[in-house]
Amino acid sequence: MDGFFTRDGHLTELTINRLLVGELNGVPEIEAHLAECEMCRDALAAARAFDAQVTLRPPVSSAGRASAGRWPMYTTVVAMAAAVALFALRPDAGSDGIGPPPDEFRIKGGFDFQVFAHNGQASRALHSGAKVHPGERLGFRFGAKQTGHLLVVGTDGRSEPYLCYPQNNAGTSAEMAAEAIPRDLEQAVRLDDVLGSEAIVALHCDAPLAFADVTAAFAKAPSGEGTFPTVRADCRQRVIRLSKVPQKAP
Amino acid sequence: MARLIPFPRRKKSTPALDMDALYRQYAGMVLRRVRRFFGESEAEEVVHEVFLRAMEKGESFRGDASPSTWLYHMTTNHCLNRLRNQKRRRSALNINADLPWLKPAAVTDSETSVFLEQLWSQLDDEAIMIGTYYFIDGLSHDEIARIVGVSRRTVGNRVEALRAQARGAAGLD
Repeated sequence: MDGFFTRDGHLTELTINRLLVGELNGVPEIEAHLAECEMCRDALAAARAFDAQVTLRPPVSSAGRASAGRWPMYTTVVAMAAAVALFALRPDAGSDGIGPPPDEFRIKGGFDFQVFAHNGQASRALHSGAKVHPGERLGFRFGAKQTGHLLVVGTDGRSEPYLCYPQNNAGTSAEMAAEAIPRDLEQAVRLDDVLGSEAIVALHCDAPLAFADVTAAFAKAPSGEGTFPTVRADCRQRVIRLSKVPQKAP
Repeated sequence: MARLIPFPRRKKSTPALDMDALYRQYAGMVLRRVRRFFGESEAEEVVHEVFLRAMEKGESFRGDASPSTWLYHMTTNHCLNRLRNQKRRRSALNINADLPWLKPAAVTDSETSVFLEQLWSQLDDEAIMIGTYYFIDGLSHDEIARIVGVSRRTVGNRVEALRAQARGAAGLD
């Protein structure tokens, strides 16, 4: 079906929309195109980032309009969302964690993992070396070409691991289906006031993994600013190192 | 990360459409489409108009169409109606072409320029709609036919007529 593509052979805006709402999951020609076309992957990511940040108040019902005037006050962060979408993709857009995704974020046949910071008004994609601030929330996006078990762990300036995803009482990994198109994970973590280095470690394993396994492995080989030890042979892991600094005064 | 307030329930029930869910799921998509045609200052108001229109036209939702396609077409139609008498449509579309989710589509060729600058005011609603999907969005005849709900032959005829008009107006024939 060529309806998915423009006459130039790229995904149409409507195709991107339908991908984002799950109407076209698993369509082979679309997945094949996305694997090849960086421009369409960027467009999809930008649309997803934009949608994630939209805070529109809905129009009021007829009864509401009658008392509040035709168009009551609405709020939106359209400008911020647009900026976020642009910043998330623009190379060298700034020194605060915004820039082109380094290799570690890209799908390489293993898994794709991205981290975003949200400060209550806007969000930005983070790469290693990015600056984050106390109080910001970190969100995650994940996709893998094979089914596996995901555990995301953070370590703060005191090198104390904390569980980022999944936030369950058992502290065990979440089974993740294979998905060529990364999706946002539904849980986020809020950064505390401890300044210094911060690292987010995503582990994608063939078998279930417990948070306790990770803390034990990290304890044996304290990571600090160095490399993180391999937790288990069947696990593939990605590390994104961050620097938590005080928020600049307005 | 997003804060979406539930869509107000309609007093009259709308069969087959859950407007709350529709708004929650598609507000971002509609806003992106609106931004294709309008700047930030107008966009939110236009989104609200689109959803209010969706509430009114809920019964026109075809069971065989995806909600995203239905809203995409409704949004496009609404935007084109708002743009009808505006002379700034080309500059608006060019500026908005830099929006990152629109990178695969471009408004560059001379036929498109003529369509926007010279022909638009002379065309009927259906021709403007088809021309927009063809010249601006780069859609194929089949996809335009699917979205608009006309035959592929109709789309083909309309597009050929538009292209001929555009070439003539641009002095390319």
